[in-house]
Amino acid sequence: MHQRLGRRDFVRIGGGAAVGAALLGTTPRTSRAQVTVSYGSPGGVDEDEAWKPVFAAFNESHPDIEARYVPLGGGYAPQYLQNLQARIAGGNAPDVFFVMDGLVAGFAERNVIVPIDDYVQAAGEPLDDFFAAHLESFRYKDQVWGLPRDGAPMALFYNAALFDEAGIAYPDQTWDWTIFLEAATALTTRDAGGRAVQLGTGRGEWVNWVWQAGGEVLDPSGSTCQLGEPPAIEGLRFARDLVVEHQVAPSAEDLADQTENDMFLAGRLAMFFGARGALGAICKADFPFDAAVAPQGPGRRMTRTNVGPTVLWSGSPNQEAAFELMRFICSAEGQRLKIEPTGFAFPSRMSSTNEEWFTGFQCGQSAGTGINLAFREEIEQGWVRTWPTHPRWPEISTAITEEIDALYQGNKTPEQTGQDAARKVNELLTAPA
Amino acid sequence: MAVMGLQRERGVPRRTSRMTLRENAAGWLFVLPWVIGFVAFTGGPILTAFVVSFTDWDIVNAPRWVGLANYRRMLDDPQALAALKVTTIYTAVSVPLQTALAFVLALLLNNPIRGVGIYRTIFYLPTILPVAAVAVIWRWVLSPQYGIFNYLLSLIGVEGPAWLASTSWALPALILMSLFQIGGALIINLAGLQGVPADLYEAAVVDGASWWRKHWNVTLPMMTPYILFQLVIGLVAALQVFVQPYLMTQGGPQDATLFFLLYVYRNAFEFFSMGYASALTGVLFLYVVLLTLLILRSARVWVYYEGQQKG
Repeated sequence: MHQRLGRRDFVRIGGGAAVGAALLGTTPRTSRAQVTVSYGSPGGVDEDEAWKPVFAAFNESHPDIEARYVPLGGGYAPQYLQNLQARIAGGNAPDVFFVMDGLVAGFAERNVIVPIDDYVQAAGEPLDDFFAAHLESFRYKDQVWGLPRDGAPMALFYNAALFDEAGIAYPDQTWDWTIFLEAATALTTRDAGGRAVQLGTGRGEWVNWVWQAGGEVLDPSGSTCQLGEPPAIEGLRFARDLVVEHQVAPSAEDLADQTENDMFLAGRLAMFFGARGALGAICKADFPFDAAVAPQGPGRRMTRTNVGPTVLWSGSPNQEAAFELMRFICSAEGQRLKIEPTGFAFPSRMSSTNEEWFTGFQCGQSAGTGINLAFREEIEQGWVRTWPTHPRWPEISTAITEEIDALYQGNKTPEQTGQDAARKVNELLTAPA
Repeated sequence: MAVMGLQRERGVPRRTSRMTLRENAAGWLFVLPWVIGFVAFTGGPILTAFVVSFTDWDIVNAPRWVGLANYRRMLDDPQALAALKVTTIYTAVSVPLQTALAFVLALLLNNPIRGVGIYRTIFYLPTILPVAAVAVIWRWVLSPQYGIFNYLLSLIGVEGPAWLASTSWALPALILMSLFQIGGALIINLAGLQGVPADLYEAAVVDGASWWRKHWNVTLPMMTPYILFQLVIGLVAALQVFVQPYLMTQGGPQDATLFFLLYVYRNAFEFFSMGYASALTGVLFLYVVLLTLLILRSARVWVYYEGQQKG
């Protein structure tokens, strides 16, 4: 015969179950972690793995801080920014996070991040080991707003086998625009119908050619766009001519099918400008390859560098501990732990680029040391720059990109492109934010 | 007697009122989940967006009231007007094409031919695929060098355009892509065709109507309510296209595929201008309402409802 559950028994059992569930649901506080800080980054299968040793080492060396890696998703694309903004608006952003190149000033202007000068001073953190070009992208209103976790200039990857076949000497520091164009022309082959079977070079970023011609995007005060000036127009002309006149670089039609990376891997592109992170794919090439410094332009030798901005959230309740995490991530040891296993990224510290783990890196059929040293030489010689630092850079960049599209399509002359871009950007610069 | 009558009148309303209240309460309880969901996830955000459109809000800081400044800004924003133009052209071309194609296909698939179920399934399948997956597939279909479209054109000696890389062909390419997802309209048309009374066709045959006359004078008028429905639904959907340009062209080349919602997205999440983006969506809402009202107004002329007498 069933015995009915009495009311008291029910209350006892139910209450016990509730307490048990509450205890099970709580995260046991580790005795050593008194402060918890988090780091946000786009994430991904490879990146998540790459960060594990960094966080393991930090947590071991900082028993009073528990650091958590938080992949926000979205990839290195606008979706990540959207995820990050949602977190910031919701008040639960990571204490430290990666932000896209070119957005540091915008975040600083909007008080989303804090300057770290005081933390740097209090910690006695020397900044002189960082490459100046990387650190410059964090300077805004005479303050430093973050540290670089990595960053790579664009160098010239080349297919050594195609150069050998064509009997052309590999790129080196003697290359200027003339030699570069001659080589690209010699390395471009077409079928009977005139369609390019192999192209000599990738386009390179338009800003590289502008800088190499001696031009600028913004004036030093950031209040006027200078793309309508003659040096900038000369750079735009060279960029356009590679695609439209000489047809040695991919057209929009070519790039609709494959990226320059893919074309290079397929043996359809003899040279292209890429960051060291491109080694992630290029290492799989079945031909010998290497990298060289960018060619010398009429004005100077210059190329753009990527940066991995690491910034401190203004709403973090543990900013001191968060700065410790930022220091470690951007330290020589932190960068080594992350970069050494794959070798794809480029450290932001000069001392790291002299370490054997960096200089001795090899992959696939890399034919020389250029995949390490070309990038280092560019940055050591001061042949690199980042995007201009401006709080409205996303809008400025979009406005310029639209004009550059028209340039490469052959729909505008370099003069029209430069002047229209300057007009649009100047309107943005003078419009209320 | 009068007292008894008063007593009856007093007693009956009280019982009805209680029952009515109970029934009303039960009804509200049943719809409450939907109402809560609507308020929380639709109505509330719509109202919030409307309020935000009068502010300067960069998401990461508190909004600042600016009145009509965002709406005035739109009048001087050539990109906003260009985006509206692109979206309108896309809508004006794709919606009638989709409606016509869905109607013709439904006519064909309404015949008792062998394997008609398989054909209906085939035409409906693209509709159930996720839009993002379809966009990725279509990028390859429209590849200038390796895509199947240009390959088929090459077989007849025509050099295919650059499609998504061409300022002239990028928008037509997206319009073409939209024609492959008419499965929903197809199903609705099929249902409509099967609801056309057979005696109307019989009467037409007796009167000596040809195939064309039968469909022009019987099928088409009877189907006009369904066509109206598809036009309205298609219009609302087309004016809000976002995924395809976002994944396939990012608005390029040279803003040839800069759809309005893509421009809204850019302002909201890339330019830190959520207030302006909200104002843009407000204008889009009014635009959708205006065009919908125009279509509904025109329906008085060309839509026929069974049993309706038209003078």
